[in-house]
Amino acid sequence: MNAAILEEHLLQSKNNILTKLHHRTLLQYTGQPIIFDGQLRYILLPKLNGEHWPKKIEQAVNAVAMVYAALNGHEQINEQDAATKRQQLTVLAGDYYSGMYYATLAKIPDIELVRSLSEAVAKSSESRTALYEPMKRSMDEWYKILEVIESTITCQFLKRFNLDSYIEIVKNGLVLERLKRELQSLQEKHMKTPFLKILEQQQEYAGMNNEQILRRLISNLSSRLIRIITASPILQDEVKTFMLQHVEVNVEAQITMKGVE
Amino acid sequence: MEKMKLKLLYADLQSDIRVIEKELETALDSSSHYLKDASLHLLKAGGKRIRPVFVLLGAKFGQYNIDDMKNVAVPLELIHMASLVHDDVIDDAELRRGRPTVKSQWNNRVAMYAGDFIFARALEYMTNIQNEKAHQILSKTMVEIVQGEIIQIEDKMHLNQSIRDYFRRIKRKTALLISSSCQLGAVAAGADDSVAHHLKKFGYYVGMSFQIIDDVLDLTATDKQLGKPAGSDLLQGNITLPVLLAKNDSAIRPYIEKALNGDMKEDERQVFLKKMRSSNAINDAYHISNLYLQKALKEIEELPANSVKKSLKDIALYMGKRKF
Repeated sequence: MNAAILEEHLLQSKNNILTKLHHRTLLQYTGQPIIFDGQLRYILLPKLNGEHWPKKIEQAVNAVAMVYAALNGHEQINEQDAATKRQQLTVLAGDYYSGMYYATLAKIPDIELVRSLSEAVAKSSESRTALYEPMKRSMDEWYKILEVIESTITCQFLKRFNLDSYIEIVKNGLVLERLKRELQSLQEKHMKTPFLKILEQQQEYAGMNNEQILRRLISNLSSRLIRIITASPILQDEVKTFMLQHVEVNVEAQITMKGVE
Repeated sequence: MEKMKLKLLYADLQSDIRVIEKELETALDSSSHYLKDASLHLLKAGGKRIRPVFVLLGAKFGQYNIDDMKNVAVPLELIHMASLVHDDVIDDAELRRGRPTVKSQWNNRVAMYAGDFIFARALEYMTNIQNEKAHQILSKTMVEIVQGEIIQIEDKMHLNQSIRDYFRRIKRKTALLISSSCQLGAVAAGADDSVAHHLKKFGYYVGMSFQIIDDVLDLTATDKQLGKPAGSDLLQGNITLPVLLAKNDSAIRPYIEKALNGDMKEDERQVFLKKMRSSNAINDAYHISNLYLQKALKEIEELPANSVKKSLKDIALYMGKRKF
């Protein structure tokens, strides 16, 4: 399969999930559910790589994407003021997508996956809250927290279907996607997220601005991910090329930014 | 005081309710200090624990075992708690039951995470039950409850909505979770389908009656009893049954419009409450609540002989006649 076909697979899956989550009022006020392409690419990596993919797993993927839509939605809530109609419905959109994920798995039924995903959501919520707690942690500890936030849900799904061999790639890939979004929001909206506020307090980044810190993290992680993907014994060559293209987009973006600077 | 009265009504379940309370604490334990504090804060605020009680009473019509039933009773209460935490974000509420809300103590984002955490714990607990039907009932209920809340926001400020719109809204907002609590207890305990069906209907009617009373009390109870200003529903744009019944009263309508426009002064709020309290709307709303209550009591008659029938009846009557 070439890159165009793989992209087509991703697009089809995304459209399928968005159709299942369609809600007229929510669409009108909050827009489409937020499922980042990067997130979906890693959730679907085993499928793109040709793993046996029965209907049950396809339905489970929908549920996993719904969980991401719920949590991504709740990340849009303003810390201090959520009184607008749009914000109120964003709260409910997340709750609705959560309900839909449970309903999807109850219908299959896959109660074991409900358990795994709810454990993951609990852990992810604890880690998201940690970003607001005034606790000193090392950069390694913060990195682990970010890893839990971004990848625990997908990792639980992979474990459920004995696809553990993808976990290392997925963990690193999903954190990279998050860092990329952090950088984007910093550049476009000049927004300092709780994670960025933590980064700038780390001694090892003293004298660096937020953008420089993020660039360094992205650059290091991209290099690591490129090594992991290239050396992977499970990925097919065309899937490696496809995934590397996306990692390298990140690296190139860094180079471009350095050029601007 | 009122909570004390209610507890007396399910005195037979006291030891099992204690198990539930302990399990709630265990379920909400967290490695996050904020989430742990927020959860304990919610637990301490108490609550009537109506949903777990209905689960347990429903289960008495089947093979009752508290070690199994806690796996249904605890999630039902947790789901209710999670929805309150998120509702406080939506309503921008500083206080609930006279205590600071999670969002006011920390911030909206932490409240979102707290709600998500509690909701996740609820599902985790529920997965101790392998009954597929129970999961299908609960998941469908959860989706419908949110749909009800979405409709509530859509209907906000719309004074031209019908009483049917109001019923549709409170069904999803409140009645469904109580209805499902009663039904799920029976289903999880392996009671007959017809028993589960009557319990479901019983819970639905009780829930409708309960919410109407809640909406009446928002206008008739004192600020102190409510732990928030009386008339808050209208001030937030939520049109409840008493307001719908009074909206054509020329002495009251201007006040309703002022409240919805967001320019009602404190003295005007007092006049509005006085006028509402002396209007027929309150009595008419009580009457409608009572009709639902009577339907609930009829459903109890359809249930097989069981000592808990009296408890169901007493709790339904309490909920339909409570003062605040």
